[in-house]
Amino acid sequence: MNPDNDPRDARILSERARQLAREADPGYLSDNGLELVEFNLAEETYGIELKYIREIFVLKELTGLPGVPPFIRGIINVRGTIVSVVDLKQFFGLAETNAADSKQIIILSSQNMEFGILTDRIIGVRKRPKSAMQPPIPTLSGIRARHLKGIIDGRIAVLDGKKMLEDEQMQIHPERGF
Amino acid sequence: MNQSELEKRLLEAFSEESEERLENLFSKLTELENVTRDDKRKEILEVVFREAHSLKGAARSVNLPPIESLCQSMETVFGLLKGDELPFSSHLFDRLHDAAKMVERYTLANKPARTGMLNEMTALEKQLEALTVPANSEKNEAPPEVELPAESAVQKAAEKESHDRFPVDQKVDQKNDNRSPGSDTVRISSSKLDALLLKTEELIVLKQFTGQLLIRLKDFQEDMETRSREHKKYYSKLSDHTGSQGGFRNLPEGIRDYLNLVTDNQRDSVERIKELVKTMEQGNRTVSTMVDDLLNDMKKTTLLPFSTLFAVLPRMTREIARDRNKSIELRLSGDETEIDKRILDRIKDPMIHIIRNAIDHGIESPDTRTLHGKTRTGTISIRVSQIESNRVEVTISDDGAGINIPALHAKAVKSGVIREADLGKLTEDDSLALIFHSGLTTSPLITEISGRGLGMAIVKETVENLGGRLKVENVTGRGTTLKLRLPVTQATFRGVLVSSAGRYFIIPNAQVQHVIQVRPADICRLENKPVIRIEQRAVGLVHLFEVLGQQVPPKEKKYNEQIGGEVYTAIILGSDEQQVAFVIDAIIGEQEVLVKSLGKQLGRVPLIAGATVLGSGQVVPVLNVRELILSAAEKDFFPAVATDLLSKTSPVEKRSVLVVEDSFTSRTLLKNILEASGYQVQTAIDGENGFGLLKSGAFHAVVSDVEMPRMNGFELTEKIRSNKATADTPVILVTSLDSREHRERGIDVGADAYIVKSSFDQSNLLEVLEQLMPS
Repeated sequence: MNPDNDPRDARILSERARQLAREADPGYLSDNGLELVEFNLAEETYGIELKYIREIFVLKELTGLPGVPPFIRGIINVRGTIVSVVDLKQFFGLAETNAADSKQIIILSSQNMEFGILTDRIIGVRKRPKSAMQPPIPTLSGIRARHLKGIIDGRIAVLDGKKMLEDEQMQIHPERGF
Repeated sequence: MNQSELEKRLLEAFSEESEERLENLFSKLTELENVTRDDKRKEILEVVFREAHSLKGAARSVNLPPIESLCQSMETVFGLLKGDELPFSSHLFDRLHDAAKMVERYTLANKPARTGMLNEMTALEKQLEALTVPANSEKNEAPPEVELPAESAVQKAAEKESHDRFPVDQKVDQKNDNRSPGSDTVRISSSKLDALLLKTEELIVLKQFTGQLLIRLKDFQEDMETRSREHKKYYSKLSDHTGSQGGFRNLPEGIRDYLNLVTDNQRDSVERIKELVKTMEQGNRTVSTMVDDLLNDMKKTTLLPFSTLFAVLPRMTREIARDRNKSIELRLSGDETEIDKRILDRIKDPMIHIIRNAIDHGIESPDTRTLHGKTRTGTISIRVSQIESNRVEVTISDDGAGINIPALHAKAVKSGVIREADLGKLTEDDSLALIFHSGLTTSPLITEISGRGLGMAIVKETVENLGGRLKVENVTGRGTTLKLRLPVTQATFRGVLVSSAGRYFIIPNAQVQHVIQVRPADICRLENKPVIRIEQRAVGLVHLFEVLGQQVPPKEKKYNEQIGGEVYTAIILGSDEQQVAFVIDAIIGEQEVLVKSLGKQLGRVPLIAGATVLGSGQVVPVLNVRELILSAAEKDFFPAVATDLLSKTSPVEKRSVLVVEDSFTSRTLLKNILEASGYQVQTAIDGENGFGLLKSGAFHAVVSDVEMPRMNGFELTEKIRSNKATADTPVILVTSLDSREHRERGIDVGADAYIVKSSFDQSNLLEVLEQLMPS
């Protein structure tokens, strides 16, 4: 494999190298560090804390459903349990990229909520000290701002997993009995 | 872990614990109020005392003084009741319930709301204290003073003792209180068992997979055999040509060897595939049995007793009854009966709905009851019993006024479910079934069901979706009984796999009436909506993709316009009273289906009941037929109304056939085959029934079974022949009796054709019928 062949590969590799170099960061050792799974979404890099993630799932097939909002892309079978898949680009109202969706889905999970999010590409898991996080830029507004926990390293938008899992807009027609 | 995190965890633990204790407290309180036997009372008092006490301790450890002191008050009352120092009274119980409810509210509330509750809590405490005073003062009056301090010392000692006896963490003891623990019982977290069950259920996919593999292998085998026959044909032709018996001596050596090689290969392949199929068959059988057995045992492992559901009912009943100013006694029995946890979860809401209905509409007010010579307190009893190895029956009965059938009729007429003129035709059972009619409620459709009173329709649907059945029995003036028959373990069901606009969907077999081919000429219009005619009725015709709101494939858009000769496949769904024909792309197949929920995010998706996983691993949505029909009806028209209109306005005369057959399956099969070919079919269940129909209406032909109760096919044929009006009607006997005698008997009695079921395929019957039909 020759990285020179494809500028994208080269970019990935250099990014990886940069990240590996960063692992020596003292934050790695500190107790209150953040463990983040980083991924690409519409040309941007996002992070989400590992503790809200049940697993990373490789998509084989997505079954669409009628009668659900467009941000629900469909359902998948994760070892016997059906899990719905959310398209954050739709949910956040981000520009649609031409790139086909990747096959990697991050499954967020809590006691009462569970869904997968489609990513363009998963970069990896990384530990950063909490001090590396700055609050979200105040000019951001709307639905995305509500789910942003902060910015790490000045470029990675860290999503608030807890808020996403608790957001009422994420819940489709809760069953309320009779 | 820092201080705030520790606090948070403690609080979480507390809310969990308090929820559990309160639930027990509520149910025991209600029980306590209803029992009269002294020893039983003592026993329950012991439990509630302990619960209040432990809750107090727990509240102290998370620093919630208001709960702590309210629990203290409750504990004091229980202590007094235990020592017979306080009389039982409903007022007392009301206050105790209030107190427990207050604790619950406080626990669930956020900080500002909590501050607002403090006054209320103090007031409650005062009330509870006031209740204890007369008891104490009475004691004061009668016995000498000495006893009081001694008494309280004893009480203190008792309290201290109970401290020691019941440490704060009591979850384990408490659970074991209800069930006697077997010596060989193991505790496993239910989440682990659930995961195991899910994985075991996944094995159904394996079963389907091997099944499909076997089918493909058999197809291949057939293919190979055909090729082999073909080969032999050429081979023998060739050997005829070359003139030599089997040796091909005239041919060049290379070609000869090649031919022999091909022949050997052919034979070999056929042999080997035959062997493979045999092995695969065995393997398939083994896998099926093993998976079924394993799943069966696994399901049994995850069963829960009904007591887990019963725990919440007394309190709920009490609250509703109090709210409606009614006096209700709830009797529960059979709580040790076990059932699948998921089924238990899903029937919880339906049961609550039924109880609420019973209190709201069933049980009369105490005064009315007295007037009718009943006890002032109404009784609702819930009895669970295992009626078969995989079936339980839940009987919920009340001794209230029963269902008011005239009122129900009036409502049904008003909401257009039935015409006034047709009311007379209803049997009592038909009338009672009206309570399950979704049309009787005001809510138009699905998504927001809360408080809209779709009620009984959903109860019925939920029960049926679980593979159960619901029956209502009524004695006007004396009460109503609902019987729910439920499977003990979540059952799989048969479903039809269809495709609509290129996507797959599953429809439960139980709700499929027929599958038909629709030609443009079959479609008429009624109030500008497309309909087709099935057995004298107009059935609305809609595209499934339209109802589902799928992307419309452009070339299929104009289905109701005259497109030259195109034939549509339509699947007719619903029950007898409400049917809609849905046009689909095709029927893909029929298979075993295990419905799964759509996951935590999708609570309720319109038109979709759940999802299932196919043998290929593909996830397929399972359609909710009731909602589909409602939705189609909304889009188009109300089927019940149209029925009548069409029967008057379109006198299209189709050729009619009477099918006489006692087996339900064969009857349905015959009917479907004939209807699919454009005949209009009426059915009868035996000869006598059939002959009755023949006398009242004209039929172009009769297709009848031979062996039937009451009047068999031979006798029926004789009767038809001897009756002037029917003597010329063609009769086709369809039977499994393949003997010369029977054939001759058939001819003797005057049958026009005699088709043996084993050689029975539809083209045969249709050809014969076509020949015999008067043109």
